[in-house]
Amino acid sequence: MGFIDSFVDKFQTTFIVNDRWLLFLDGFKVTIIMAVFATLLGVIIGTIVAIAKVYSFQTGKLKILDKILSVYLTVFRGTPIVVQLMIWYFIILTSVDNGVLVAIIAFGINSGAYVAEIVRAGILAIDKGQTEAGRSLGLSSGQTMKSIILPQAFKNILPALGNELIALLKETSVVGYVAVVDLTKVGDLVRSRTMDAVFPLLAVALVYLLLVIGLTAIQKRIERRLRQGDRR
Amino acid sequence: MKKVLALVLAAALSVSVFAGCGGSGKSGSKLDQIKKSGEIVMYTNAEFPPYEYLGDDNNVAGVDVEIGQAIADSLGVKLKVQNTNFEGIVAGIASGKGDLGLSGITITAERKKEVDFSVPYVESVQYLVIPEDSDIETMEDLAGKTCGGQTGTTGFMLVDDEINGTNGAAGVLKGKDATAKAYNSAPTAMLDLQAGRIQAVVIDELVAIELAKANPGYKAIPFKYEDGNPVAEQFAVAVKKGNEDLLEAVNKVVQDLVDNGKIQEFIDKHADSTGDAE
Repeated sequence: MGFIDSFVDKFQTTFIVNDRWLLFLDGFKVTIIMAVFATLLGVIIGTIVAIAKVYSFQTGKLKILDKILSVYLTVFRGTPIVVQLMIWYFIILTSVDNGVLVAIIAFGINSGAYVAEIVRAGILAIDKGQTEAGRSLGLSSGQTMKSIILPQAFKNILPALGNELIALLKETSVVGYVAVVDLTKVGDLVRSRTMDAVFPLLAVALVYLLLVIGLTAIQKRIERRLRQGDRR
Repeated sequence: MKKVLALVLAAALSVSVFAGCGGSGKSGSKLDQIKKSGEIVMYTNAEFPPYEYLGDDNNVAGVDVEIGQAIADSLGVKLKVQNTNFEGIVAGIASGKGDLGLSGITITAERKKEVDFSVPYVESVQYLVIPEDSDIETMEDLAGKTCGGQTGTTGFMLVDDEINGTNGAAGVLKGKDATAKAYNSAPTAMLDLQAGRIQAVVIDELVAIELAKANPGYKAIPFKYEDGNPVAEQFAVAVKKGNEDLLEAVNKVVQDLVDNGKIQEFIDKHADSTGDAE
């Protein structure tokens, strides 16, 4: 069998036979849904945690909350995501039938711990004079955080945040452990049927790569827009 | 934009280059090569007791290893056991990296396209693990239910095929609102059965019996169709396509082992040893 024939044959068994491309499409959708919603959840949790920790650090109040949040960071950054995912699915949320939902919760809460540290670093990097200026203009501390500190912090942490989002997208590839059929699992399923490891694996890898390239392009665009004010 | 395009093209190119690697074959007798190297390589996935599992000394043991050893002995060479993912075994044999695929591999039409199979050495009836008060008895009873299984195992594929009507299955569950849920291992599927997300687990007989034994309140039953035919499969040794002399040598050994009851002896021996380990 010639090279071209073999290529066409493997392409057919991987994608065309039994309409397997539909499986890949379904898996792709699941991967995207998990990545998008887990990211949203992670950014929301991370931002709130970071603000609370900075507030506690600067004012000396809310010491107990600060301790609880530190435990959260330690536990969720200190255990593998696969293990966390299985604990959520098989032990804590056993009454939830929707594996994708469990995965979003597990990945979102895990990502929140990493995002919290990124956001906290961003907030702490803003000069104290900015806060003082805001307060002396008559803004409350909440208004100062929202209108002055966070916008500047966000601009600085955008590359680190982009990193986290890319990592999260690829981390979702372990959901096969809780019987969710994402892009990677579809590759596994097709592989176990066709016994051809090469084509499904490389196809799956290529899709992830293209997704990350797309994400990076979007991140660059946002960054450029936010940096427009920096040019003098 | 150009850079992105270049990256994409490079990626696409590498896909085609790698895909080509699997297809090319070497000429010359495989049997002669094995004899010359003094070693025969067996691919297996040691997560399927009693056929293959990590023994007390952390080496792969089991029925399939005994068969591999018998084949190696008959050729007068050493047996080298390569422990790999189940999904990678047939691909490894087809590409010539391994000589024998011995991992409780079921003969299927799709696998036959990739490798040659020896005469079967075991017929394995599929079992269902279900709650003791469950009214599921047959494949047809899975209508409207969710059945769990291990990715790549025959039991899972047989149910999946009946749901989709693929790979020559009659499709008795097609359009009947049945779901096949893929797990990475049978014990994880068992966990979900206990959590109530699924109503049955399909797996090979011996594993099913072990699972039911380990989990009170659950039973293992032979998996049948409504007409009484068993949902079954045949295990055989996979060898690279077009190696008639190797296949012949393997067939002779396997047939002997079946005829003189050795296979059953191996199964009894290893079922005992895995039972003790618990």
